[in-house]
Amino acid sequence: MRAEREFVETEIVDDPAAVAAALKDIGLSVAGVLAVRDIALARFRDVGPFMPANAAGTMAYHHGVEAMRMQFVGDHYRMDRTGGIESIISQDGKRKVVFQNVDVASSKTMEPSPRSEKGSGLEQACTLNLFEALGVKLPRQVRQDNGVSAVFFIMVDDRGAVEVSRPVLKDGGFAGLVQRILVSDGTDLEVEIKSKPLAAPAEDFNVSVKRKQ
Amino acid sequence: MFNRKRLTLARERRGLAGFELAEMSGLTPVHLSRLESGQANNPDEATLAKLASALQYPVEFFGKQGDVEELNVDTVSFRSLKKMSAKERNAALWAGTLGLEVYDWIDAKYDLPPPDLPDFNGQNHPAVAARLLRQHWGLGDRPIGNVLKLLESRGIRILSLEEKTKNVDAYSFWRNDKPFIFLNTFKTPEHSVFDCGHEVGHLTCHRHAGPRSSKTAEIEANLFASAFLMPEDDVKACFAYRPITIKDVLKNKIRWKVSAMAMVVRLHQISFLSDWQFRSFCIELGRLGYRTSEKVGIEREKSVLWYKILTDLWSNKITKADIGNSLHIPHDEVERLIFRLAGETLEPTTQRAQLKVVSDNSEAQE
Repeated sequence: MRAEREFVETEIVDDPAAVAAALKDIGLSVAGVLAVRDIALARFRDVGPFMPANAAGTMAYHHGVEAMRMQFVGDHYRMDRTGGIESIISQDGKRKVVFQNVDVASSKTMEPSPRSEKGSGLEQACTLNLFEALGVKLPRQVRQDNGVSAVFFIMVDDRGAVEVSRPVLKDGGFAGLVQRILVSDGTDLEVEIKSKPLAAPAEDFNVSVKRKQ
Repeated sequence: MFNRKRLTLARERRGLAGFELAEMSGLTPVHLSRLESGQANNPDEATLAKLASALQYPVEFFGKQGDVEELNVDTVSFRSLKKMSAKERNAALWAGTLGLEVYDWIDAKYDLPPPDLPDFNGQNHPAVAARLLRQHWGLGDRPIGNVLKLLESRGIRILSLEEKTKNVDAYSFWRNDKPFIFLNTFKTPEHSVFDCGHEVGHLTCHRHAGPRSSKTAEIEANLFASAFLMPEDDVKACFAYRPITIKDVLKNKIRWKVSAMAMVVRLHQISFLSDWQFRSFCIELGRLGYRTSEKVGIEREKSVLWYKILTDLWSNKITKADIGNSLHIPHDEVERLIFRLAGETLEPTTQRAQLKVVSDNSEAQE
């Protein structure tokens, strides 16, 4: 029997207290998500000129997935790779979390897009509603499937911004987002090294000096 | 209360032997020696004034409370200990003592970047430690555009050794879990960049090595600096064409901000130059004068941290002279500690413009 379906507008959570509460509701934590971001970002930047052009993304993905599992497998989650989806799944089987590199995260003006095309397995887990499947556009509105497995994405971009969001997939990309929990826009990083071509020297380091009160 | 260690500090900072100071101050060498060794009583005011005048140190300096933090030559990593005379070494070490007093003063007023330098002590190969540090700092294989800024952003405190001698390169040490590097800014900018890499190698690889002056530690620090500043893959990607020529070296060295000699050594390390080529390149660079200077050099890196601090202090009308006055350290010592580090900053004028009454009938009055 199909579960009840409803249409919802994208819910954006950006208040720090609300972000912490929203993550707690799904068994995650701000510190854990930031730790996943830190590791993925470090790997993203730790690539050499002789590596393949897509090395930054793949390194970030492999280590991001590993970090996600190291952070959250335990009381609330266990490891899962059903259908080829590298994820963690809640102990009750109702919720999945995956890692995703995106072009831009935690921006209120832009929605994230995945850096790689999503497979059919993941697309089935994050399906569209009937109207959109028939080509009827419902901008900013996506279907929420209650009672079935919800898939959350820890989305990290190359600036160090991170959000935990629940997208709906279509044609290998995000068709819309049910919920966006904006964890960090990257400004919490001590040293901000903007993404540049490999050939460019790294020099944008932050030397913070503050007068004591 | 007279502090005899401070007398030794001031004398050795000025590069004076005991008999020279005795002559300049009008004391007997024996009296001076007894004062420094603690065998004589506290000097009277007149004697102290003579010493202070001869050394150009404030009288208050010799009576400052607290022990003098004397740096131990065994626990400090000198870049070129062999080349130095004891006189040069002691002057450089006392600069460290004064530098710590200046940094304590700054620390009390400012929140500075916390240290973020992992301990790679026991790491088998310095090149691996360099790679791990690059990974830890998120640098990948990119060249470092501003090494001084990078180190400061990671909580490494840097001061200048303006010793006017090429025999002192640099040294580093840990103090209260905070890493310090003293650089001789008398050297070329490229040399200072490599010194930074070398000292980071000591700080991260030899932190718990204890007293040492071993050649091995110096070789390891050099290997670390080479690998840290010139990542193997990046160098290999840039020197893609054969044969490698001196012209290629001089053109590409700017990318990693190193000297031509350091570049050639790195190319040899990664087997891009054979032993024979390496030898030929060294001879050729020596002939062109690259052993002592860089014909096409880079701009000297500036300390962002000191620039920010001095600018903020100056906005509150506090000058470097005021720092010296607060610490009872001569102004010139403060200047030497940050010589060439802070770059150009506008120091506030302490003198007010003199107003003059201009009279229309001044000529008539004359």
